[in-house]
Amino acid sequence: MAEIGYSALLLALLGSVYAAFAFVLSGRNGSARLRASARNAVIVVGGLVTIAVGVLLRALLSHDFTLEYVAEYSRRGMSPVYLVSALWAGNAGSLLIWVWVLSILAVVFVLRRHDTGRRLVPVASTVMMATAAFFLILLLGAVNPFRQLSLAPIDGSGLNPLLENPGMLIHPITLLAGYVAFTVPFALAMAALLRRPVDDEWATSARRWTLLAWLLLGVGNIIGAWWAYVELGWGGYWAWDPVENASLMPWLTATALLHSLSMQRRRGIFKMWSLVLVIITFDLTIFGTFLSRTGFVTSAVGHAFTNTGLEPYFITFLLLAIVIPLGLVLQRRRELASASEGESLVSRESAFLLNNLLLVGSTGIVLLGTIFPALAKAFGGQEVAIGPSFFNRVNGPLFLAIVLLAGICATIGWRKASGRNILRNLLWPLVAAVVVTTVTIVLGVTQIAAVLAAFISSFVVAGILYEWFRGTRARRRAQGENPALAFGNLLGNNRPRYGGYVVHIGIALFAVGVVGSSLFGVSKEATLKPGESMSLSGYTLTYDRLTSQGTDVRMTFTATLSVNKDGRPIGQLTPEKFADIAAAQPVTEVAIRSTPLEDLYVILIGWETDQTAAFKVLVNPLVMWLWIGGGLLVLGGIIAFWPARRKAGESG
Amino acid sequence: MALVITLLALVVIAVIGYPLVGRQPGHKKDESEIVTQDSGRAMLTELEADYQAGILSQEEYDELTAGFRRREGRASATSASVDERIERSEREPRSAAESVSSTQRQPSGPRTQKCPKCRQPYRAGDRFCQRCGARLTGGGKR
Repeated sequence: MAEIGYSALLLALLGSVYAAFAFVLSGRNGSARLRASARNAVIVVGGLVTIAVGVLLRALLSHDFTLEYVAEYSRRGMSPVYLVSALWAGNAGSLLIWVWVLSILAVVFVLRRHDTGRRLVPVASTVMMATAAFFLILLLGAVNPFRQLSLAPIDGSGLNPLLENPGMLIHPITLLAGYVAFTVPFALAMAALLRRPVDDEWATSARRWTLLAWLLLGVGNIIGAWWAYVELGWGGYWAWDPVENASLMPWLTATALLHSLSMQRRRGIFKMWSLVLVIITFDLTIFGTFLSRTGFVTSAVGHAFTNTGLEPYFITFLLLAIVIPLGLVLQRRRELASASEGESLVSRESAFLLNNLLLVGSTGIVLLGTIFPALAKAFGGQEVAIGPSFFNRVNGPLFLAIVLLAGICATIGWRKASGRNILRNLLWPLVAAVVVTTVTIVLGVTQIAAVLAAFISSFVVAGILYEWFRGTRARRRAQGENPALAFGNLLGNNRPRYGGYVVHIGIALFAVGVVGSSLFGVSKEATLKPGESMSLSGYTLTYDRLTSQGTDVRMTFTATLSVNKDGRPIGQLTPEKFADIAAAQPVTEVAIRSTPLEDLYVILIGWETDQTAAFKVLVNPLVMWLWIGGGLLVLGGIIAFWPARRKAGESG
Repeated sequence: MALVITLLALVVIAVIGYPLVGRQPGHKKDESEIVTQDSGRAMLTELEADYQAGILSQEEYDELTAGFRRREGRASATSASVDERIERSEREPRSAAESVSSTQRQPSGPRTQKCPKCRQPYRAGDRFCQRCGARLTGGGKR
């Protein structure tokens, strides 16, 4: 079977190279036959890579340990669900999934009904097929998933037990799909750059693809943070680990890109910005794949990969993907200059521009912090570590400023906001923000960052709710609709705008969670005998007992603690540790009691034979708001992505 | 195994090669018919939302819409038929901005009918919805 998988990949490589050239040629001589043939080649590539994925999946499910990949990432006794997730657990598998997702997106892309952007399809498809060809070359050479062992082992090594978690089923695949989906807007931008004159058509076509990629990357990051929090057992959700940073950076630039595209569509400005941002975002996704797949920078949080000799390939591809597109942008810079219509500094346009600058600036800082240790080692030979405190210190204020701007963008007028306009729109949100901030201070919160965060978040949420209220009221008056219908119609008539607002509310709540948990978290470690207690910020935890339970493959140790809050019993918590017979090290299962105000987070560190056990207890305030904010972010993204009612002459 | 691989290769060649030797693919739309992006309309929707939400005052709204409405008028005209263009050019001098504010917010004429797509009321005689651009079947005659 392995031969079929390998041959399918080889044929897919030939098909993608053919499609790339045939599309270019059909664009030159206008041959409809050649274009149809190229389109069929894209579909064939999609089919062939699907066959390859099917072959690998079958090998995993049937424990065909003659394949090196299967022997390395699966073992007998693994549940089928995790056998499927083993598809993207290793380098070869995840790169295969990369190509697979890309080839499927390319099929959707060429088969879509294109009104806007149809002229861009041939060149854009060429770019996508060239990218697919690059990854297929890797799969046929350096990281062949179908490499066979001369002697098949009786059982495989299996997955890292940490990865056997429901979050792990979705987190890597959504991130990967997010990375891959950015290829489409990038390809559209390239097609636009290669045509004369460069127009705004690509921006309209690219909007929903960008939104899809942004959404997938956002979901992937949030699930990753949640997984780290509930599964890794160190009490936090974000470690500024290189692999985490790699997926955050394209998300940040994609956020800027979405705003830039919206400005380009509405005002015909920011043309250069959109192109540069889509190029940077695509390069960052390739860089992210490179970083997470090659072990270029050592990772701390469950992201360990071996050196595979992929570096030269990735660096070459990355250089080409930076130099060629940026060269084209430079060459076309005159055509791309926006006709400025005299926007004032105090206008929505300027707020969007500032927002873009901050997002790109913050991406630059994260990039620097991520690659600096590797660069320092390469050039100076010295190990330099850049810890979370660097990222928090530099990005904290930047992120707060971005959130503040999100609030201002929504309420400020276009082109030249008058003093009266600003006063009228900002007065009530400001009053609400001052009230919330005052209450926060009265409640005893005095740290400047927390006070600022309370002010900014409440200002953003109040500003948006106030806008919704006024919009609904206007519709109710004009159309005589009831409030619920009026609000529904308001949302339905302009989904990108109101979806964006829901995302902004999500970001503001997210900020509350981040600031609360990072500034006010407390922790304590204690070693207790059964019957002994420990206390932390109002909670008293009494250690009752330690029990163990064993199966053929796994031993689980469970500690039971009774919890009191301010003297009242509120239940029991059962942190665990389990060890798989096959795995070297035990895995921690934390116990969490979550409320909107704070999480009580208990980790079982270890135990003695006399049942004495060591615990680490954390009280993390406002963490629930991270997940609520994250949920709203996804919901808003879906609202904005949802197809609009089709209007005459408009698509996508 | 070799047979399966050979078959696979043959299927690939057949599917890719068929359009080159088979029937000429059906001609769909001419490039000139492709409706290009219309940033003017996107902006008008946005300004309308801002006006409804009270972010823009009436003067600000009128001032900002005037430019985009002219641009949108031009864009729609390119795809409209000749008589529609003539009709539009007759209406143009009445100042586009004025017609928006009167039809959308302070009804001056009878507004008995609503757009079938977005429910925006329109005046008898309008051929296209002021908000969503949908063709208004009932309003063709003047």
